[in-house]
Amino acid sequence: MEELLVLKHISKTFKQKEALKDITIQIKAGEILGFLGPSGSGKTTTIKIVTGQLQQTKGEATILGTDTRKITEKIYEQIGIVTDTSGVYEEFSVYDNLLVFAKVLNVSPKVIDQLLTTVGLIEQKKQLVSKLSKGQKQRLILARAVMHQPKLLFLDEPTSGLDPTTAAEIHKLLVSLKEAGMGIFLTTHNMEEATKLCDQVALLNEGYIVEFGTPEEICLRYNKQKEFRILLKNQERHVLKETTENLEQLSQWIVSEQIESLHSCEPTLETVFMTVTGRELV
Amino acid sequence: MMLSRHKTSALITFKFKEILKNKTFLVSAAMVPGFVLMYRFLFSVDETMPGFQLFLMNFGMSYSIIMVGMFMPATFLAKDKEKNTLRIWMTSSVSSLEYLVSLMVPFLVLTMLLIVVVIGISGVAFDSINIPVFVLVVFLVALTAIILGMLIGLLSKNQMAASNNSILFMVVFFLIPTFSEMNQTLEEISAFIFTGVASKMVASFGDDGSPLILQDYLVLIVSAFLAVVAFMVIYRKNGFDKD
Repeated sequence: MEELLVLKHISKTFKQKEALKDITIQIKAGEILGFLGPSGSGKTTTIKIVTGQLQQTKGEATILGTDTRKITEKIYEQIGIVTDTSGVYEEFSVYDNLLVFAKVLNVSPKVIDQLLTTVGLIEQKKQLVSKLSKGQKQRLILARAVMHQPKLLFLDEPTSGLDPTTAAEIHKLLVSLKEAGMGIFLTTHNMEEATKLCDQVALLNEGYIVEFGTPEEICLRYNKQKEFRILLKNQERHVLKETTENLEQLSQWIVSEQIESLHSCEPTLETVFMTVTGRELV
Repeated sequence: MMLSRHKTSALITFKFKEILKNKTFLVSAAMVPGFVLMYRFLFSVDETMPGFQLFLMNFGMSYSIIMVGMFMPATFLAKDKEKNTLRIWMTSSVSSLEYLVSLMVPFLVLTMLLIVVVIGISGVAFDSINIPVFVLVVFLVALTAIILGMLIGLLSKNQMAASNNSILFMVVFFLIPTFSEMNQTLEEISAFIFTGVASKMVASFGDDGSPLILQDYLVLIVSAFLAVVAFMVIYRKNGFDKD
């Protein structure tokens, strides 16, 4: 698969402070990479570097085969960016906000209605953007970013502050874009979102990648306790560690059909992050 | 840097719409003919005085150049920064040049249109105006003012800062030429200011349209050149939005 974004040993220093240290990642077509970390861990700085808004202090970064320090309009034509600072023209309607970008990007205005239907804003088509809710504005920004069907999409906390229904709608859209072959770079501090959507995740803490892999791989790597949570039909609850004795007990319950439910207690990305860094993801 | 015709024209159309929806612009633009008409009405007794219509025309022209030509591009650029819409253009396939041209063209057209309106309502006869000289000078002066306005916008974080930063420029480029005929020192200073050259040109229409001298054209060219250089230097140093 085509490598859309490659970062090799990227570091960024602001005056005395090292914001990013030795970041190495890559994104291929049809893949979602989650960049997870608390506020101030370097997520937005990374997006700014790879989109040419900032320059790294050390390391090499290429986007669609071009050095990120030399991004041209041709490259921007093939990427979409949604950040928490993406602006909209509040005094214009939803449709007009998209129309100007359609004209600039040489996209047929016919696409706009279809796009508005996809992001659930077709009923607000003629409404002024100033009248939209935060979630609706976020969906408008997302619609604008994917209008020209970019190869690579950057999303900086796309569901931050949104209600669960809107967030779920955005997740659905992202999965369909991924299936259509788009590469997606997603920063979030929502571990559930990352587990659900991402093919690969990088856990970022104070500018370092402290863990990298698929969400399952990372969780299994930290599954040292290997515990099982069991609910018996008589409503007794048990948490058993993986010992020979406990496994024998478990087999007996299975054979005698006493088990109502059985779960393995694997760590979540959140607990992994806390184990690795000693801090919470906020 | 290449200028894409379809992108630039789409942006210019959009900027025109944005400007014409903006209340601050509409009020500022309406104030230009409003003040000229008010002066004409209030001092109607002096209409027979030689040069009164030219004073009105000079006032209206300088006011258009400063309020619409300089102040508005400053606030519009600052607004795009404040509302994070500038970053969207800068991380799209729109080049800096295309963005700048799209901001410059509407203000240039609107400033020149306002000046034509000012001529009409100030009572100056069109046939007393040396049209080629007038168009050339007004074009250069408006262009210089717009570039300076964009420079102010570049240096301002938001619209409020842009308004504050514009005040000094307004004092120098509007008040000095407007009142230059009332004070010898102001007149001497005004001769070296691009808006002062425009005022001098208007005054010259009363003397059978005697054209400007070489020094005046040099002032216009050097001012435009310095404005472009200052803009380029600040732009290269900070970009549109310093991080």
